[in-house]
Amino acid sequence: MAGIETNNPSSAESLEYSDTFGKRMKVLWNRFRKNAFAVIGLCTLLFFYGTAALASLVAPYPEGGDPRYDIFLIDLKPMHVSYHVILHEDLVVVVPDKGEAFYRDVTQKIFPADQEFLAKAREGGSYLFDDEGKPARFKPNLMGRDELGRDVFSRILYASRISLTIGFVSVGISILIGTVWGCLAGYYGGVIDNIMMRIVDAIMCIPTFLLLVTVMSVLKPNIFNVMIVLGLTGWTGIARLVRAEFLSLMRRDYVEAARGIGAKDRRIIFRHVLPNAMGPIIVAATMGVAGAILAVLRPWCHASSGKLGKHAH
Amino acid sequence: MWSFILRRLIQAIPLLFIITIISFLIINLAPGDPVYMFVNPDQVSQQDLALIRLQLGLDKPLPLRYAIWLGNIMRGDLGNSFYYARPVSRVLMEALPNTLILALCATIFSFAIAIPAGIISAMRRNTAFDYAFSTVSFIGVSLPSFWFGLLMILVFSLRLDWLPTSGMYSLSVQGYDFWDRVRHLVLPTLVLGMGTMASKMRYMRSAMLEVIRQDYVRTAKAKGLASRVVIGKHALRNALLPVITLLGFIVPSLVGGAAIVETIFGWPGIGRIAVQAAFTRDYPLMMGNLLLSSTMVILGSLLADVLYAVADPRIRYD
Repeated sequence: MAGIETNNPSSAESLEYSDTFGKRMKVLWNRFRKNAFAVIGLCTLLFFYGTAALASLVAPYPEGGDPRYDIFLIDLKPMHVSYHVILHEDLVVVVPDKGEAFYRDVTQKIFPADQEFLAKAREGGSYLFDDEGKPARFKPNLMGRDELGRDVFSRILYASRISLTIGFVSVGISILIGTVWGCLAGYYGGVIDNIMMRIVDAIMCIPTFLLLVTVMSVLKPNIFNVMIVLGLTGWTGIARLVRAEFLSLMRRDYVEAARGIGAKDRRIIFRHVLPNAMGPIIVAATMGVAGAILAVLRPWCHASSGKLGKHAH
Repeated sequence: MWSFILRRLIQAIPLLFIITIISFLIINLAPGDPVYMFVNPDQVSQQDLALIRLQLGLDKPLPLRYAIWLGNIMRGDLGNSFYYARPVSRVLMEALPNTLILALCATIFSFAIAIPAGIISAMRRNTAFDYAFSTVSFIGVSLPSFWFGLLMILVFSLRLDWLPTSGMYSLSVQGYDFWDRVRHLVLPTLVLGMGTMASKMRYMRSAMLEVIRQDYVRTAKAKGLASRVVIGKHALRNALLPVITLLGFIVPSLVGGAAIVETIFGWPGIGRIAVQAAFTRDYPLMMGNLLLSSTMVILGSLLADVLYAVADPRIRYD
């Protein structure tokens, strides 16, 4: 992020005079490489997108948990609701609670209680047991297990796919629409600016969360629709930022000069003025990805009273 | 300039009209029915449902309901909230001062840190100061407020016992105690302000970087002006546009409330009411809240436009 803004006169010149696309990219990359923070940022991004893309290889457990592993999360605390553990002589009877039975595939499990089980039962707490009632030795749970016995680390890996995709795509749509909209409003000004910016005001007022719910009920509730709704409503801020830059930049001499030599509107907007308005766009894009991820999270968090780690759909 | 402001205020009326129509449609077409808030859906007769609908005015077709709502608005009546069973205007007016004070404090707090930090990190780019502030502000924006808020309560209220956990004032305090209020304000302000500090700082920093390499800044430096004058008078003015845009966004957020922070800290503000209204499908309350925030969005946009011209005289609206 910070690397792109570098103002090194010599490299700026070489960027100016390198006309082929490949050369420009090479100059950009050389500049980028020199900034340690930019490289660290890129590596972090690649790491998270990489683990999300390869979640099925990296995650120790399958998506949504593995029934073989999560059946016997037994909570020996008496007040716990999900299982009733009854110790009867040398038998352990595990009776799943009514609400849990439907997806656990077991209604009742009886196995002989050995010394280890009895010792743990007296201590209380949650333990994992295998089919025989022996303390289970499974693959490690890096971040523990959730209340249904699923591996939290695996779930985070799979869920990050959704969050990262939504963040990236919806902000991409927003930046694209917002930039073009702001350019046109700021460039043409006057009545066109007024109409375009009043449309921005109106879209800003529309309650996004309810729009999301309404669209989900009409169309299919999937992450593509979430991305599109967030993208189509989230561009208003960028439009305002870009348009403000344009209002000021349009009065600069170089725009006058470009017009004087007969440059077309499109060339002036995208080649002359827009590069000078990139600062706020870059900030909006970086902040926007984080914002979009949290925006998706927010309503669901609220609905499930702060339970993280639920899949977004 | 005054005629510009007047023109924009007149334009606001048809704009609000359009906004309320669209939002009225979205709000009413969203799945969910407010009548089920009053009854048990499993054991209710059709007659009872029809009666409740009649009482709430939901039996009429959508266009007619909008017309009735609009007619009442013209007479200054926002209707009655379904959930609170009280006038919407009163529900909102009770929460408005609370939301306003919290949002104002958080805004001032985050601007007071973000703007100087943004300027200094642009001037001393790639120094320890720049990296330190960037890191802190990015941590601030990355921490979800529900988690950060709970952490703050855990540390400052439960462990250290310095500040109250929630609410606006202590129940044990009789009457109005200024310092008691301030103590209750600290944590929500901190959590709310931290979340928005990073973006303000980054906008300020990138705008400043753009400006300080301009010729006139070099000229000002060359003629021997103090760096404080160069930055404060010559550079800052030209770097203010993005910050003014942000200021325009802040105007609606002053009355919009922050649902999560308000919920965590038990702050009786508008954010909680808005979320409650959305989940209970409290149509009149939602529309009242929307009218309030829409007005502020339009005013914020106007304020930003006026301030652009003040900060940068090259900007003209003709």
